[in-house]
Amino acid sequence: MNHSRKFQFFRNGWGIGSTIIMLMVLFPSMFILSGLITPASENWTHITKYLLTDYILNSTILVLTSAILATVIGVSLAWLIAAYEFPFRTALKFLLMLPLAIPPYIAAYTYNGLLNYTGVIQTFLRNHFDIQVSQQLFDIMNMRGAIFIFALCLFPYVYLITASYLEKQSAAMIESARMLGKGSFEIFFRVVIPLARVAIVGGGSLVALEVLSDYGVVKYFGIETFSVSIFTVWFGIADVDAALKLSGVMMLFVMCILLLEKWLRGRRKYAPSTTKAKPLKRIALTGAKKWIAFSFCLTVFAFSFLIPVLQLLHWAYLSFDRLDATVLAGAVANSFVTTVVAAVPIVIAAIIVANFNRSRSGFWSSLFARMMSLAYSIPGSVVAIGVITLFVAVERQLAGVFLSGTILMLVFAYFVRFLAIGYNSIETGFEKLGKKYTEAGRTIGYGMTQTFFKIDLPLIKPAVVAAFILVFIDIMKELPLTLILRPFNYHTLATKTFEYASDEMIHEAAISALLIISLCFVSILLLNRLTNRGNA
Amino acid sequence: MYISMKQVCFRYEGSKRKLLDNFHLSVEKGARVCILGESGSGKSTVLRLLAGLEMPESGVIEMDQRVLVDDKQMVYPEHRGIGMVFQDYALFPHMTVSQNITFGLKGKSKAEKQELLDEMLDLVDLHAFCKRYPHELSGGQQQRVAIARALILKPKLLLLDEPLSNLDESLKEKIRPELKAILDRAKITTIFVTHDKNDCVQLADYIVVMNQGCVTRCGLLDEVLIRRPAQVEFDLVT
Repeated sequence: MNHSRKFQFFRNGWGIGSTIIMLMVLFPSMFILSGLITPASENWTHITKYLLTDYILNSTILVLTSAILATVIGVSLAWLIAAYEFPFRTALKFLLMLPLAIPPYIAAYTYNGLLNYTGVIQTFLRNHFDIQVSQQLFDIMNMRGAIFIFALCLFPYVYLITASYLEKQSAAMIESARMLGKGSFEIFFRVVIPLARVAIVGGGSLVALEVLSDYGVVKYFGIETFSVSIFTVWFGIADVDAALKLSGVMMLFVMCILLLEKWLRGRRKYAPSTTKAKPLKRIALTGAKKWIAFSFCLTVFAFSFLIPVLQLLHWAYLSFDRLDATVLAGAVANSFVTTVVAAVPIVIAAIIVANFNRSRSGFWSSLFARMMSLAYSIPGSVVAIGVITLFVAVERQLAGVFLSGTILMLVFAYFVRFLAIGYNSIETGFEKLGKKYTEAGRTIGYGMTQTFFKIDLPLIKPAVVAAFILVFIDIMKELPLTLILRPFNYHTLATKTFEYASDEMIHEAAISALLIISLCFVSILLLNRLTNRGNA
Repeated sequence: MYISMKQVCFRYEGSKRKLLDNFHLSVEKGARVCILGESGSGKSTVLRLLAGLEMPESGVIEMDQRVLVDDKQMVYPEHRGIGMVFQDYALFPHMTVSQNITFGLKGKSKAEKQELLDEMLDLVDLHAFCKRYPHELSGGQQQRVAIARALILKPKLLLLDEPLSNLDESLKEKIRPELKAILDRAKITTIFVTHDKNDCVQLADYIVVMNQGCVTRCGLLDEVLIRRPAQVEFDLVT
């Protein structure tokens, strides 16, 4: 088709809107990558000579081991929940999602508080049994501790994707293997793992990207990774060029993870070969087996959610009298306002891009989708540096306009980072809907926009709500980006929790941490209800 | 000619093979044309091009002496005045039968809308079902709603994409005469595609046989299908 015909066919506000949105998402990354080719400063020479190897090594070890451990936990839970019937399976299926409500940095403060010399465990052992334990054994403020925290908090990414895949898509193959006389272990290793490889790798790489993006845990535990180094260079020595270069190297690191993911996925696609998939029929476990399965799931749930929440509740009780209600109310209000103000345009933009992309397949739609995924893969601290550089450049062009250090900058950064979350949810909604209703609307006299509002929007409402909830959860928990870009003296629940914990006021941090967890918990509950209704 | 497609070429994005290559089609006003072909022959694509849902790579499409597509212009589906009934009917699931049928009416008073709705419900004999939702209707009833929805706008051309393929054999036998009666009463130029020769025999005046994106045979139903069934069969399978 020649370009004139293509242009005539696709010229509309949706296409123009999508292109503008994609440019907005792309600009910060372009600024960061351009930083790689600027002349090196003295600090950068120092960093490359003495520190960069450590950053790369620490980040690699942390990312790989956390992702592997989270994948092992997530896949084994997914297999148990999807394939077997055992006591409280339905409740555990939901409960195992809940660790998503706990940001890793909150789990890190909590576990350190639990395990250190004055923590409840050591105190209990000392006071009741006169047992003095080795501090080295209980010290989790190191690489091993960080891996433990990440695996516990992030395994739900692998668990959710893999369980959903196994429940819906694998029945025929697993049942065939059963009919061919294969036992549980053989089916798991020879059928389930290869079959769900794409889902497992997808979940694992999400964990890897989350670990790389983290700032709260590694800062608290004193592990020198990329995130920490960017903060140090930015706030410590105020070297913008070096921070940009570090961010650029971190982006290359992200691309390596994405390439690794692509290689691990192989030629397989995360899509069923048939739409006539039937759910996997679960086998009822009997005797000791059912209690072993139950205990395993319960133990993971206890360590990843129950114990940290109980500890936080205890601390909140202890510190309740010292609570500064005004500060906390301010942080709650700020969190809500920032989250909602960012989530609404994200969802609207996601709708615009998704609606345009589905109207055409091929190069542009694929490019738009890839660009958004890439933007989501970029860690918060890197996005923050890119956004600051962009806003400073804009300010230079528009003399007298001050955008840096405003809420607008923070909201824009959330927009860049979390657009993909909203997009994925809405794209899924559109995929389920297909194009037939839109085409029918157009043949009976409505344009693309009218058809969207009258036909598509009412039908994809659950996907829009899901997109809002997912973005809400992510922004509510977000720390590094908020820490860098928030206006002066502007606190959200996440930054307040981080601040209290950094000041060793761990009990005071409990209430704001619990508020984040509660808000995310309610959001997950709503999302679960919405998903179940959609599947019904 | 009322409708003409000249030298139309089309391929789906990313595909190397042209689905339609120098395709020609001319239809007289008031004709009822059946495009007969196997899956992948390009017959549904012809309808989608006429409706404006796809853009041809090259070629010209005209209707009633108005250019719908050429190198300089493209009339969007909503401005073509062409009604289309989709293979699975695409009835809006969140609207009742009445709401589905009147959905396309714009700039009309409530009374005018009701009058047109009644006319259509008479035509398709669905008065008793006007408050039902699509999922509460049988396949045949859904098809009639889809036809009414397309016809209420008084289109210049009606397109039907495999209108009976969603129904089982016994229901098809029952629905064909009903559909013919509706189309007779509507008196509208109609093009429909099917892979079932029985649909052609009972519904069409003219027949176009397609194979791999090309017209292999066309003419009056009597001349093409009734008198030379073996040749049509040969065209379809080779």
